[in-house]
Amino acid sequence: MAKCELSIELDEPNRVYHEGEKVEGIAHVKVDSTVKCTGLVLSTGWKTHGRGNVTSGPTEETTVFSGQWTQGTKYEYRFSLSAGDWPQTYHGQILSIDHYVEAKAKIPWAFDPKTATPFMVRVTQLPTWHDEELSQILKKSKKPQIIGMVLFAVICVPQLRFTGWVGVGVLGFVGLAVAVFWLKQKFLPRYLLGTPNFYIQEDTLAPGSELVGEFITQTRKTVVPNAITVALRGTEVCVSGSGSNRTTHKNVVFEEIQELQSNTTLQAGTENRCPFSFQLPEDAALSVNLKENSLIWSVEVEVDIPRWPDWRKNQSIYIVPTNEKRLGLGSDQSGAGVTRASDTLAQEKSQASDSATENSNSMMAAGVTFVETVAQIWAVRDDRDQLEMVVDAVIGLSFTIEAQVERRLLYAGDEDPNVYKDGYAVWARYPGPRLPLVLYVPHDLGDEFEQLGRGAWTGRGVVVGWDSLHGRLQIKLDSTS
Amino acid sequence: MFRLDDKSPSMGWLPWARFNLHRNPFGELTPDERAELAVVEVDYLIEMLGDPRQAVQFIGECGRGKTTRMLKLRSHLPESSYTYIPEHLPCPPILSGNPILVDEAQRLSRSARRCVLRSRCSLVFATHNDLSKSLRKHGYRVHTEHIGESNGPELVCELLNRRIEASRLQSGVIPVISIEDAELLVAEFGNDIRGIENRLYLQFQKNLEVGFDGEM
Repeated sequence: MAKCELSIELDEPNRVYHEGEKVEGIAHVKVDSTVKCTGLVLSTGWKTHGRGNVTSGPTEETTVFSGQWTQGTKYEYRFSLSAGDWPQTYHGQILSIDHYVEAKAKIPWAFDPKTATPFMVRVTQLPTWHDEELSQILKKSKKPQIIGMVLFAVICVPQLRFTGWVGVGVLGFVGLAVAVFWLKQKFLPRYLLGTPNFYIQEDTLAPGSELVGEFITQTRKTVVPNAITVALRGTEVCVSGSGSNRTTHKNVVFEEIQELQSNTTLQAGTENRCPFSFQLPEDAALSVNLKENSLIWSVEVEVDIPRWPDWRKNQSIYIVPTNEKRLGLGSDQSGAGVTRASDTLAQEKSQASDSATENSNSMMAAGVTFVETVAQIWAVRDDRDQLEMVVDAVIGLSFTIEAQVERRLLYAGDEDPNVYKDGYAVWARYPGPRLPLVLYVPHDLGDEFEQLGRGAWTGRGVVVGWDSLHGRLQIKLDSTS
Repeated sequence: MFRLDDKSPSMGWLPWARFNLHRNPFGELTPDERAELAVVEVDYLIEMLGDPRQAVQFIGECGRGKTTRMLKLRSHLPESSYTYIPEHLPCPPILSGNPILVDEAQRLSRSARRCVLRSRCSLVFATHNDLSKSLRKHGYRVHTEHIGESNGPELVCELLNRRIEASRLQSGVIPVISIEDAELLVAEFGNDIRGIENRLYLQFQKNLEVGFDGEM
């Protein structure tokens, strides 16, 4: 088999690139026998590495050559590709993020040789879509509790019909454990401390800036705490594996603990205020949330009460590029700045929702075609809220469907209500843009699909939903009988 | 444990560059990289799976190489389908393929298992339990491999060095794991490849922190 050696030479391998700048260099190709290449693809993009499952994202891609490479000849291809605007290069203990220039030669009937060279990216401002990422962090923090309660209700309560008194006993025991936990963690500390809380003046900060906050409480009884401490932490959080092999790894990259009060008496009925401030390091890593790889900054206040359960509260903060603070995220010094990031996000989310609602309403009014529906869904496919809104607007609408069949599903998943009796499901794609689809095929169309194999199919169907697990629009095809 | 004869002069901003590497070689890989770097022979299995009544099952504990074999087979068989069955319900959709690869097959729900066994396609199961009885009942010839038994020092040495090679920064010398190192690791971790990789990941990072240069 022909050997094809690729290498990348950057013009400035030690340069720090900023968003919008071009990475320039030469891709070298050397082949030991004449070989046909259907495309030498050069691209830039980022990738995580370390203990978490790999997450990556593309920046720019270009095909610089296709044709024949002759034995013994060395080829050179100059390139100039965008450096990318997010995330910033980061090297930690269990999480690292690097940007690469990658070269890949597409060789028919052989493994495609490829090579990659890293370059350093430092961002000076957040990309416009970054608020989406922050909103995901905010959403995530609320979701597990709600999901937990719903799952508990859906799974456990119906089981009681089958398990009888044993089930009631187990449920009672679990309930008791939860009550004890709540009593110890929430009720008892609050019983003594009254309404303890802490506030951070700004939860979006630049490296090197000052984090200012205050712990406030008005106790019911006079309390002499052992200590009131506040900790600022930066933590790498990575998830590796999946299912039963799923493991979460954590590593604290920065920790500073301050003791606010020691052996100070918190007088009953009096408002006690304990201000605190931290100087963030000049080289503090930026907050990132890249699916299963995150760098999270948080502030935790803990009140150590003698012979009583301690009170603790944790709040996330976001470290953003220095210029971002100067350019407009603002430096609100008032108390209103405490939830500024979330307020901004809420506003932007609301505007985005309005736009999606307008689109979906106009879709309903105008009698949209499947082509328009696909284009609309394709445009918002990375924004879950907008996507759901658009899909909700077209559920129940009948279209003439055009699809390129991929694979038949042997098994459509537990209790999929959309599968026809004696029918089946196939995975397909719209021809362009290549939106993934699930087609629920009725029994009488079974033979037609069997003969079709992986060909193109056109017919009528009704949109029934969105498969969020696989990112596919679900369509129930009309039965001809 | 890692030996290096000279050091790479450029890219000083990259912590691993002093070992002529662009990353810690023992971190998580993408599924494609795992398939590419696997030290497993699959040609005889591919030949076997040409028969639609053939089933192959890989049995073994976690971290021994069951999934790696599945990924390697998938990369060689473009018509195949691969499905991982999660620990908790619901059972995900299973695509038809030739062959059908099912990871953690012991978790298949009864209805999903029935669909798979009646598919009349060759099957590959990665499982913790022996499923040969139900496979035979549905007319399959079963080839069983117990994964992990062959994870000796030679194989460990080869696969670890492949991972280091895949993390190479540029031409030149890179660290190597010797057979003696591999013997020590196997003596400590047995055939648990994942355990060995985790240990080496941490050790490699630790050596970076202390500014280690040259032989580790």
